Amino acid sequence: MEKIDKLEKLLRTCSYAELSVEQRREISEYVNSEEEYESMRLVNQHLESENSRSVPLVPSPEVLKRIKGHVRSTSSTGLWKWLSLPVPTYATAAIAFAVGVGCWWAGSSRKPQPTLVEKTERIVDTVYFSSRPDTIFIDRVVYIPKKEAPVAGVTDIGNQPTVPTSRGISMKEKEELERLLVSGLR
Amino acid sequence: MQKAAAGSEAAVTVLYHRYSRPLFRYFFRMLWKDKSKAEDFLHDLFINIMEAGEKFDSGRSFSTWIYSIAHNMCKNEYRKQAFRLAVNGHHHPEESLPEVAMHPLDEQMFTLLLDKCLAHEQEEVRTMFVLRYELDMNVPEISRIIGCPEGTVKSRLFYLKKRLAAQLQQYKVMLER
Repeated sequence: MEKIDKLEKLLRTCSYAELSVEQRREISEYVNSEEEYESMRLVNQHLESENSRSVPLVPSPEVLKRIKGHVRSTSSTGLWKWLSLPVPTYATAAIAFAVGVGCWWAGSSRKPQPTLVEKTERIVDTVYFSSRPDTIFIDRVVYIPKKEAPVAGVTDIGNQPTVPTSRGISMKEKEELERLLVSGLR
Repeated sequence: MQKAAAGSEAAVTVLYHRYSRPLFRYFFRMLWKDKSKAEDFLHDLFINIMEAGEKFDSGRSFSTWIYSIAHNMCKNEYRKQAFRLAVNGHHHPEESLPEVAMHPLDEQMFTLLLDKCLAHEQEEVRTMFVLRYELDMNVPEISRIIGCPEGTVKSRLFYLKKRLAAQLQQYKVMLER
């Protein structure tokens, strides 16, 4: 790089004719001919004056207005400013952890209440409608067995049980009676 | 800078008045001498530095930082432009400059030659050139902005001059014929 620096210095200060043999030998590594050296010198002179002669360029005042407009729109105050603050991930994680621990602690300090479970049971009542029997008992026949007087003069026959001599109703009569009761006829 | 990033309009105005002209010149020169494009880029640059204000390292030079952002914006624009060219086959006006007229070499002529030569240079070399000769920055500052060693900046600028000289020689030969 020192060689380039030296060459740049020579380009600014000396023409090719003014260079010594030693200097010409040194620059030959970078510059092939006298024409090239002189052209480079010319370019150097033009470039050095480029900045001074160039037309001043000024941006339109609209640019500043647009920038200011953007500043006004973004620099809002109040709650939104706080809400829009960048929050690092670890802070968010720490807050979530703290809230979780708080909830767990609040939950564990209470005694568990017996849980009342309300259960709805459906009970179906069966109502039976029954028609009135069409048999109406108006009279009731009550049979009273007759008491017969013991027969006089009859000796004791021993331990044999006495056979009642009273007459009851026969099976036939009983059937008739039942039929009569069921049918309701007299 | 911190005040500007915090939304102070006065601070933004001060920054703007201090840096807008050289930055506008830089964008104008880098973006094919398109004034409206340069203005848009200037606007976007100020928005960017306000939004990324907290990223600014106060130990660094503000000027270097702001020009680094400008340099990156131009790099992105060149990439987009290359894509547009690939898709549409559209040529930017500067790339189809009118042929150099046959008249003696004067300032205007030199500027034309220079523009033509720079149009074919790499984006990084153009940036170096604009920073060095348009904005009159020194080599260490340029190397910090572009992020390459000072030696690279020096040698690239030197070889750019050499290419310009070659073009100038060709032009002189054309004049002599």
